[in-house]
Amino acid sequence: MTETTAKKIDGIGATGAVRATRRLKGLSDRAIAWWFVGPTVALLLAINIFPLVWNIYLSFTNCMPMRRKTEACGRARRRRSISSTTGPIGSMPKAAVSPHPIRRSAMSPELKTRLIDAAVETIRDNADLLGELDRAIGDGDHGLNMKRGFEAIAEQRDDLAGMPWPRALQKAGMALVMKVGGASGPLYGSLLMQMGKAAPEAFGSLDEVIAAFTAGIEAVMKRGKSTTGEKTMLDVLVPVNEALKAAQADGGGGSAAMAAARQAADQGLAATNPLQATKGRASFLGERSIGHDDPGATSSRLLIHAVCDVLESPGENDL
Amino acid sequence: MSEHVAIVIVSHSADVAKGTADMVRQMVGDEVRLAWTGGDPDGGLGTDVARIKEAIASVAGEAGVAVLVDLGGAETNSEMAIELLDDGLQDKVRICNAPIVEGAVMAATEASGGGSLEEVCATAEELSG
Repeated sequence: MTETTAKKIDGIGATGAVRATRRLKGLSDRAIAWWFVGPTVALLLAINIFPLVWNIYLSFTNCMPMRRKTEACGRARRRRSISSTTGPIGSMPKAAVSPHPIRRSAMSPELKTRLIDAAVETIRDNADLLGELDRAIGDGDHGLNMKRGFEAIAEQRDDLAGMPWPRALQKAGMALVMKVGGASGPLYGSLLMQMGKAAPEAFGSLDEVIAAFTAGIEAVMKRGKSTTGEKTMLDVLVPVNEALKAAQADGGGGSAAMAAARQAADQGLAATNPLQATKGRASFLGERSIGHDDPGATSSRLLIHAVCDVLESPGENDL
Repeated sequence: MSEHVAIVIVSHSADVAKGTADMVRQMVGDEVRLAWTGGDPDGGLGTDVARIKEAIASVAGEAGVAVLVDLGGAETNSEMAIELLDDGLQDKVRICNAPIVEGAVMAATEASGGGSLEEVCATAEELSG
């Protein structure tokens, strides 16, 4: 097969083919064969070989289309709105020839930036609420702690956005571990770090997201020696993961999955209200912990909503 | 010095951690290596994984390290800090499930008598049983 292809390519010098056709008009099967094969080879060159070679070339340059500081790619890197067609080519040669262009969005630096911004914003905006909830049944520092942790992530925003998922998630998780200062640091940190360990370089499907999220949740359970029904963040995270799995099984697509995840987060949080806490400082209150939303479940719900909002927003409408 | 188990005190409050360490010192003098840490990264009430890790590493020796913690977050953060230590060190560090002040004093007394890490923790943990 390769031998024939090589011969065909040798022969496509257009003038040679045309001359042969004229000279052997009506006679040669070989000439007719060239007329059939020629356009195919031309198309192959134009839409397959050329982009491949171009990508290989770009991989040797410093072209980072989504990073503001690099100059190598010219204006393409600034045109974020059309990132799905021009943006990622330089930094992600493999993805550029992917047969599923929409999936590339899940690995673009821009998406990571938006996820970080959304998560930081929701924690900033709701730090007081989280503090109040924690004052009712804990030590009142959940809002401040989470804010300190997510501010640390915000400081590394551009670095994180340029990393592949495994490194970005692990680094963000480590920032939470080191900066939060309460138990939620190692808990959220373990969630992200373990997700990072389980994550592919680029998420190509909802299945991969679910697999990483599942691994992260298991790390939270291990770290907190806890499970669902104990008035913790797990009462939000676990139902969200189950909802994602169900949506995936139904084949409803990205939006259906996001809607299911949001709903599961809301219901999961509401379900913590009547529970008696058996983990963390809220457990000291015994029955008096009943009738309060759990602060950790509340921050988890906020973060789930923030992530779903980003994934559903225009330009990034699928995983 | 390193034949004795070392003690690390981790509290949400730097004052509690330091006060506990003072009481331990009074009991065992300088025989037992001792470190304490308390407060979150901003100096408020809480615990700081990075500082716990430093505290453990600063006293770690052949005999191991017994860590005494106060409330849940201190325990979770200490577990996290232990996991971030070098592989060779991790197995030699244990969190003792005991009240922080009494546990630290009991553990240090046992350590100064030459008890193993298991014995040191067991002595401290008798208090919570």
